[in-house]
Amino acid sequence: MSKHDTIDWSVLSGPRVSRRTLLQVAVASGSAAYASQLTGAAGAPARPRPLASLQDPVQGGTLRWGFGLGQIPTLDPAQVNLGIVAGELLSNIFSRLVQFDEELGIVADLADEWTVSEDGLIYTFNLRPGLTFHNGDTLTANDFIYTYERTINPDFASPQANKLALVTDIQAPDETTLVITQSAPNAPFLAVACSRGPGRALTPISQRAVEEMGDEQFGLAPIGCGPFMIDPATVEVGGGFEMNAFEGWYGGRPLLDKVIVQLVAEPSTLVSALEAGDVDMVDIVPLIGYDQLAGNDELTLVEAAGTNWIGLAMNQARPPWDNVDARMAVAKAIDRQDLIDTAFFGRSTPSVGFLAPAFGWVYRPPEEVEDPQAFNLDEARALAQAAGLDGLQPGLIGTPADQRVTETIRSQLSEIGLDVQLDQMQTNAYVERRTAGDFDLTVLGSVVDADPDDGCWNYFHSTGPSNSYAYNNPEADRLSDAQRQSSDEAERATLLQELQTLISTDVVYAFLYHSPDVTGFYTYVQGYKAIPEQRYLETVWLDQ
Amino acid sequence: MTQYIVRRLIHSVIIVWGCATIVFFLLRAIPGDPIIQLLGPEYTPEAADALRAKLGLDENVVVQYFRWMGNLLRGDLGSSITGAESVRDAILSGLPKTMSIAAVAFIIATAIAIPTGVLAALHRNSFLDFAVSVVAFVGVSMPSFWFGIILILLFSVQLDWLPSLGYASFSEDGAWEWFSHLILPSLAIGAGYAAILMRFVRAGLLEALSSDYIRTARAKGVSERRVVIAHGLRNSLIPVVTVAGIQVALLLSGTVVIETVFSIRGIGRLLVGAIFDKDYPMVQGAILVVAVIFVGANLLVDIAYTLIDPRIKYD
Amino acid sequence: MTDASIAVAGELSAGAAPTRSGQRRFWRRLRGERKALVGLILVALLTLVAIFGPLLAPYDPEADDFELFSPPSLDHPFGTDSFGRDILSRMAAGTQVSFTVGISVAVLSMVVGVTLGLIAGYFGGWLDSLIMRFMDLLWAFPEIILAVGMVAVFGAGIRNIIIAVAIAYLDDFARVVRAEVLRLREEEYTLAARSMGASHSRVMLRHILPNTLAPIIVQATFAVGLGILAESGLTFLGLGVSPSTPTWGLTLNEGRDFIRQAWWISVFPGVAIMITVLGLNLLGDGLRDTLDVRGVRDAA
Repeated sequence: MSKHDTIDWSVLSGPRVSRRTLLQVAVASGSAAYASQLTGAAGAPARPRPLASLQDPVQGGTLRWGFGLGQIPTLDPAQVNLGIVAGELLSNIFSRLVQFDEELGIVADLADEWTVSEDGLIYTFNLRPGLTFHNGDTLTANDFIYTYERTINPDFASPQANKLALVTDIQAPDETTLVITQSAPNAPFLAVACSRGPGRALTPISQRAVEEMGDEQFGLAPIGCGPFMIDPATVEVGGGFEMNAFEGWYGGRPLLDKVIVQLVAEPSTLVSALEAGDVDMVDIVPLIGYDQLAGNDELTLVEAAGTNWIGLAMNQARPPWDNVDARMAVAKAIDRQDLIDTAFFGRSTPSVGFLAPAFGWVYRPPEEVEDPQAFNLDEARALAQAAGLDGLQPGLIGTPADQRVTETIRSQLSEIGLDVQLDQMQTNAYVERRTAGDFDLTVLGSVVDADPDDGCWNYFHSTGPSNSYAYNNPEADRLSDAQRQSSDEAERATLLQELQTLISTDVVYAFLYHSPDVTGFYTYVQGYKAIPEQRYLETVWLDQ
Repeated sequence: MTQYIVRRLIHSVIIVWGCATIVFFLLRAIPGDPIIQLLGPEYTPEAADALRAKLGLDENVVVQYFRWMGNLLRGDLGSSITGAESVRDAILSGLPKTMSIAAVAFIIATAIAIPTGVLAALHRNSFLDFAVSVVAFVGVSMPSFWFGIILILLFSVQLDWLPSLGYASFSEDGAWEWFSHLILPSLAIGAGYAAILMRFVRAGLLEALSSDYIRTARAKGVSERRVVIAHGLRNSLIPVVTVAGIQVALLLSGTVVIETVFSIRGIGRLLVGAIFDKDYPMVQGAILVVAVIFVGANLLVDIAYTLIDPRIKYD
Repeated sequence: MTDASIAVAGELSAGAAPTRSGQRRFWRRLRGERKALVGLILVALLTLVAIFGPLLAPYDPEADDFELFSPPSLDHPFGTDSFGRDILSRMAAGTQVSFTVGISVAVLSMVVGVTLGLIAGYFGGWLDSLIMRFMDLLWAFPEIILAVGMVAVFGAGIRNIIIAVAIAYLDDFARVVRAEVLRLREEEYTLAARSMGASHSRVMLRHILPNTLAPIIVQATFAVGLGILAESGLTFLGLGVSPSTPTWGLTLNEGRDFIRQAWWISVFPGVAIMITVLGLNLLGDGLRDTLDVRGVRDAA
């Protein structure tokens, strides 16, 4: 703990905290998920502003937004467990204490400034004056206290409650001051619990609204405090909803009059809907439709580097996958470029490990990396022979969503004599089987968070929560811990790269690809602000 | 007659209750529960237990069953496990969509079936008859989702005449918006029913034309056109009405798949999604509604049949 | 499962007796034999493809080293799919699987349904009530929903799909057979056999069953087609056979996302399903007319 004494945590105070500062503190404090929010592209942080346009923004209009989900079970922030719902929908209905800029730096939102005590335990937020909820009620520091108590109530069973585990005290000395005390320094706190988008645990909730509506109705059409407000009459759990501009938003009325969120579960239907002009924008472009949409000059596609990694997990609790040679045979038999060309029509980056392309300070492209898992069919066959893989029929479990990948892997692995059996099921059944360890092979990875630590410690540390395949290598534990505690970015990068090589050598996964984050809309949709994994729509307008 | 109706009514209630009961216990016999998916990958056993208790899933199955039945008798179907929605609201929002698709499909099917069926009957055993019935067989042999996709491709993407997805409310968006969203999905499932109906019309008309009263009418010198329209067609429609009950079931089955193609969350997609998510109350509620519609429609048709066709008597 | 099924209203509802005369009117019609002939030829051809498919296939159905999305050409008469596999070869392999699914569904639901129908009709009484009430329950579920539910319970895979679809359709067999048995039970030869001391099982199997064969055969013909359609429908909903098995339903479904850029991936399997079901329906229809069977659940 002495390490924390050397950090001056007050650098986290702000009306703005640059990415670099955040990163140093996060790294120094050994915190992971936090730094995750900060590791976008380099460059000077700037206030969010619309993409350059030749014309001045025009107020008005309705944006029809196709959304690739089958249903949105709830919009109650404390109950949402899908990152896409949090980052793209909740962020438009709710403002938070702080928000992100395009480089994932943290900037003011409802709090116009805040201070962090030198020991990193006490956060004091100064709220803007005159904030209101969509129902016209005043939003004060007391609303955050209500929110806190609601989120951590065991009967409410919020999946976000663990984000507030270190909070020991929350006080509102006056209506615009909020003081939060924690039991230990907790660098990810701002990004994870207080930010516009991911921060669901401390999203201000109107007590009066919840009590009047009940939790159920609130979950369907919550009273928020963001630039857009839900029209309750339009809410359909499996259909979508409409949001209208909120005149009383502290940042001023958003440019659009209305956003219609239309749920479209089938990727091909979503692509058709955009092409047919039934929607103006889609949340994420399905890769199956990328080429087709890219060829349409009425459309703009915006692509961001991925923060994720995807690999093939082999269940080490089951022979022959306890044998590293067996795993390496599989890894070396996979031609990643061919996999990407076949499964995603070239739209992904081959992965040589868990370090994703978005992390410029630590990521090295495949050609610059020594890759223990490099594609080599001869070596793969020899290893497979030695490990006795020939003729085995391992089961590869998956969902319809990864069918293209699993079919390609099945085909590639037939080259080393494996007759892979694809076992496809719906998500719920899949998660159960995977959690229970009932599989030989499965395609898996870290898809949510943005810091390399989050994609490695949880997965490769012997006590990591996502290490369900019982990987245990003391050297990997040492490196995972060391990179968390390092305060120097270059040193941390070295440690992470060393860890990546170790993980690849041990073949905890056969690493496959990093997928990009792509959105698409008609060219008349202007002012889109590309914040990774977030869609803040108040700056969007229609040039029609 | 009254006695017959009462007996059928009791029988129908028993079938519906049986369906509901079997579904209830079958769902709980499935290994696993919805909790893991609800809490996300980083769930803790404590959180899972708390959530299970909150949802009442920690109790004895029989206790759960009687509580559900008790609530049901008071008209309370419960709430979705995976979402904030009440089962009743979900069904009330899904039902109009499914029913609209089914109704428009029925209208389309009838509009195709009657003229073609009459034509085939009047030119019995001609090449025309053969061609019409082969086309009808083609209609029922196509997977409806495949036909739906081809319709989208043609009428939405290529011609840009009709919307490719979604549902529009009749009361809010107006009749045309409502109808235009229904044409393609209804056509996709209506094609198969048109073929079925056509065969009934053809067979019914042939039967009627060979009957005594038609022969009498002809002998009296009534024009052939009048014979066909006034006597033959009317009588041939009786069987069409009698299969309407079964049509309801078929159209309901058809909408399950077609709602997925067109991104419409009617009862079918609601039910399939709930089955995937193990959303017990939602599955139970939706199955109950499907069974009630199905059994009720057949009851009505059987009763209506006795009223239309005086030759049939129930004891 | 394009719901290509219909029952005669009276047959399925509890008040079966009153509508029998109605059924006669609708189903007595004999059709021209042309349709049956066309059906027979189609089914025979496809059976040949199913048996010799692997020999007819120009390539290994799993080989994915061709260009992606090649349109139909001399090298690839049906084009290649989104993985670079030859569609003709995959469809040839798929014929076997689709026929296996269809025939297995028909046989399974026939065996179970006929047995239940025989027992219910022959013994009557409470056993009849019990069995037929259970059949009513099956009937009150739309088939696809029943199949979806069962696959969700037991998991996907070709065996479970066959079982699920077979259960969904077995009530049709039970009803048809029961109705026949009720009629035959009172026939003189049955009564004679019983009076001569024949056992129940002997009477059922030797005297009654052979006389119910005609409707069973017709029903089974339709059931094969329904099984093939059901497989493609379940595959569409993501509950189908494993993607390692190249069924027509799977190929069609994999092409769905690319139908605008590569229509051939979905169109050819769709046409294959259609032609097969068409052949079976025409054949079943012809058989029905020839055998003068009434009241059989129809596939068209």
